[in-house]
Amino acid sequence: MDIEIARKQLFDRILNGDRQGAVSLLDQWAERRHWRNTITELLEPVLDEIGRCWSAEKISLAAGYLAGRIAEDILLKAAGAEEAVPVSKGPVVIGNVEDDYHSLGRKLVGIFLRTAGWRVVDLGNDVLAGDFVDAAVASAAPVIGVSAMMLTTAENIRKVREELDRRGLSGRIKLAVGGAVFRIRPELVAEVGGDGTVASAVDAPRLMAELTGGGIWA
Amino acid sequence: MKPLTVVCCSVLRREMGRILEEDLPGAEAVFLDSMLHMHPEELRRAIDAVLAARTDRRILLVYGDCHARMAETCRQPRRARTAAVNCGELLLGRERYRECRNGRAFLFLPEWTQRWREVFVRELGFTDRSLAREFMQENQRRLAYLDTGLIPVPEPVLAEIADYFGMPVEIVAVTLVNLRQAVRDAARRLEAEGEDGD
Repeated sequence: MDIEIARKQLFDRILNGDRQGAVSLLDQWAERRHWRNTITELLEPVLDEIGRCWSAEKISLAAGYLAGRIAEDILLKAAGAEEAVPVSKGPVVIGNVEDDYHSLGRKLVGIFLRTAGWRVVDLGNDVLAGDFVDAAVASAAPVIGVSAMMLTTAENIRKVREELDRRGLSGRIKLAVGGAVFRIRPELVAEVGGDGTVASAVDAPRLMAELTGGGIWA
Repeated sequence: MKPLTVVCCSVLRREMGRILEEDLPGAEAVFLDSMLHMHPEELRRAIDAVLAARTDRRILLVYGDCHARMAETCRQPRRARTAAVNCGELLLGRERYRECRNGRAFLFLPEWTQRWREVFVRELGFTDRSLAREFMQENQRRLAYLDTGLIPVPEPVLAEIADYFGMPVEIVAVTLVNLRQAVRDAARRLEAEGEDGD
């Protein structure tokens, strides 16, 4: 099957909620091309397209969620396959900022980062600034990724920047920010002290790579 | 003092109807469709349109941080908003709301409960029950119906929801005390502005 046709089929199956069909297509591709190639030449381009559609609000939350689940399914299969030794990147620390409980975006970020080979330390919801920085120091993470959905909670990201400044870690530990409010108000990234953002969870690996100059340590 | 308009999400129509009747009987009430919550930019435009048509009135917004520019919307003279992140916090108060969310409870308000299929199937695209279950069970530990006591608990609808998501829906009784206080506080801020804001 031609790669473009396979990508189109995978995209359609995800949008139609056909998880089994999507995974089956990836399985078939992996039989011929191995898992690593399947991820890079088939899954990732389709996820990129889904990310673009999601940012433009052209696909539903359910489709975005399903894409994440499929990516996770494939990641598990690839991790179990001997030929698919993942590139070691990271670690990165992620979490929802203090008072923020909208966990879906953060979880999808975690899935897509892991799919791209990053080691992820996920602190969950309602994380205090000091806890983010403590975790980054403890795990030697060069990036903290903070998620906030609303303006009120995005304002709490300033506390993470202030904590990094207070400990003299700004510059050494980058602050990635994300969430619905940043799509609508991109100027907010700088206002809360963020070093960068992306419009969708699918793009998170690209942002981490940019912030770390590639992010490959192993 | 200029006349007062209360702009409110329809998710609190019954509850605010009661409070307006008792606390602010002379106020004009405008309720906007709660489904706008799913489209924050449309919500912003809808609120802005209501406000643009009422520049000669004081405005009390009964909303949370429901669109990305709500702060700017409310920063204008003769405008005040209830202090809460969302309608769940308006009803529960800050501490109880935090407890619920830290306990990973998804909150169903009475109006949205009746419209749950619109929210989850039409708006969010969860047409597949197994995916809906996976999504809800992964992200929440509890489903909680906030019973404000103004309508009978819709047991058959709650049973449908429980069946769809494969999780029981517990009933949490709430009074209107927190919502009423938030409205009173916002009204006081408007009054404190006095005619200076005119």
